[in-house]
Amino acid sequence: MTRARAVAAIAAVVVAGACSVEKLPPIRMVHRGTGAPRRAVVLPTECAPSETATRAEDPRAWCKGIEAIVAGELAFHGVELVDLAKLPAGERTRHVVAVSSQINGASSERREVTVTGPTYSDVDMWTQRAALDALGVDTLVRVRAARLPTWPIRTLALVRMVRPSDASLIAASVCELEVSRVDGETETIERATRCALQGIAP
Amino acid sequence: MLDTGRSGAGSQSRAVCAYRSAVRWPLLISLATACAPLSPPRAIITVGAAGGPPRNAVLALPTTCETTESILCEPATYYQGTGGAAHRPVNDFAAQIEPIVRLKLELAGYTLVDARTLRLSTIERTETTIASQRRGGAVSDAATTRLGDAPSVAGLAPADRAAAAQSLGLAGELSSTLRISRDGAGLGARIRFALVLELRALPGGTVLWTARCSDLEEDPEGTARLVANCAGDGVLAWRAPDAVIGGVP
Repeated sequence: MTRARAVAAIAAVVVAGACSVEKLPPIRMVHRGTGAPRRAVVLPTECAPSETATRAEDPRAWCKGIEAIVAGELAFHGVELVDLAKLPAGERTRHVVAVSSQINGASSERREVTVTGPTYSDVDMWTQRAALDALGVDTLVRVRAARLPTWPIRTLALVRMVRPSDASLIAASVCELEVSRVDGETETIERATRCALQGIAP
Repeated sequence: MLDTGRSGAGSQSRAVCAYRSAVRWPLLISLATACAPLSPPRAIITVGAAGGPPRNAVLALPTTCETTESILCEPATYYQGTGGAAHRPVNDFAAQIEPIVRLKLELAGYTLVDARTLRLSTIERTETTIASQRRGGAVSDAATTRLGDAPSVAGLAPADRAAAAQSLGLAGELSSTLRISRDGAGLGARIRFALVLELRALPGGTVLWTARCSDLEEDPEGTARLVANCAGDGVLAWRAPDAVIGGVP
């Protein structure tokens, strides 16, 4: 009985181990266009929803850190990054309400600051196009990621850089990882993105 | 089947062997099929008379779902009574299809611009930060951002949409349609998912190519991803065969 249990335990460990083994090394493919990025805007990552998220969770939370990884890598290689969501498109209004109170010798403070007005990420498409020219942005970076329903499962990440004026390619890199069901979605997408980035590092 | 040859015990041994075989063979077959990949669906590409356009920026329209039974377009329908609905947050198949299709098409050389992200007017942004400190305690901060709403190119009529796309220099318009139907008559008939991608030139609306892939539904979201991957791979194999990972050089 003990021997049978030991065999069963070993078999379970072998099966679990087999499931967690990465089947193939990452496969990366790079396409190069012309030029190099100097000043770039990183567009929001587009990814397939998580397969494991519950109704209470954001199904795209798993890929939200990807833009930061891409921005960090590009900045490290000397590319200047422009965040359109932080650049005011015009004059904005700022409303400050500060309240101080003292009750029984104990003081409390509350300060509420409200800023109203659009940034360049909120403007209409024609204004945004003109703003990219005015800001000297020469590169748009887009990351796309998905887990493919193949057998075995694969995680794919694409990092693509194009010129905003005519959508001509600067560079594109895709990396495909063969993963198992026990690998976390966030972990594999980060690995795939870092792998793709290595192919287009300026 | 084994026969022990022992008289008296023969029929009992045969019965045991038959039982063991009955248990073992399905197990072995199950294991064997689990290790073998299923035959994947195939994409069919139809190229229009004008052929493929130069690899340029195209407007990507939201994926639509067409069916004769409207409930089939809602993923939650497939999980009713299975207890799986709590883990299915996606409320339309477009969310499963679009990321995969767009990834593959961009790999094939197209630059896709989502029609929903092209605003026709500027939206209002309100950022609020509240800092408070009570009775000498730690300062707590809370920040919220509220964004207004504005119509996008996706909501325009086809002619206006084409004009708006052209004003940004977009050379084509990509539509994506998931068609769900029953493979046969009656409610017991299996459900088939078919994804049709169509690229039209701007201006004019000439069909440049159509990609179609279909498969029987096994797991609704998985099948949606599968046909998306299949149709995308079809375009990829045609437009940029060198970009097919794992393809024969």
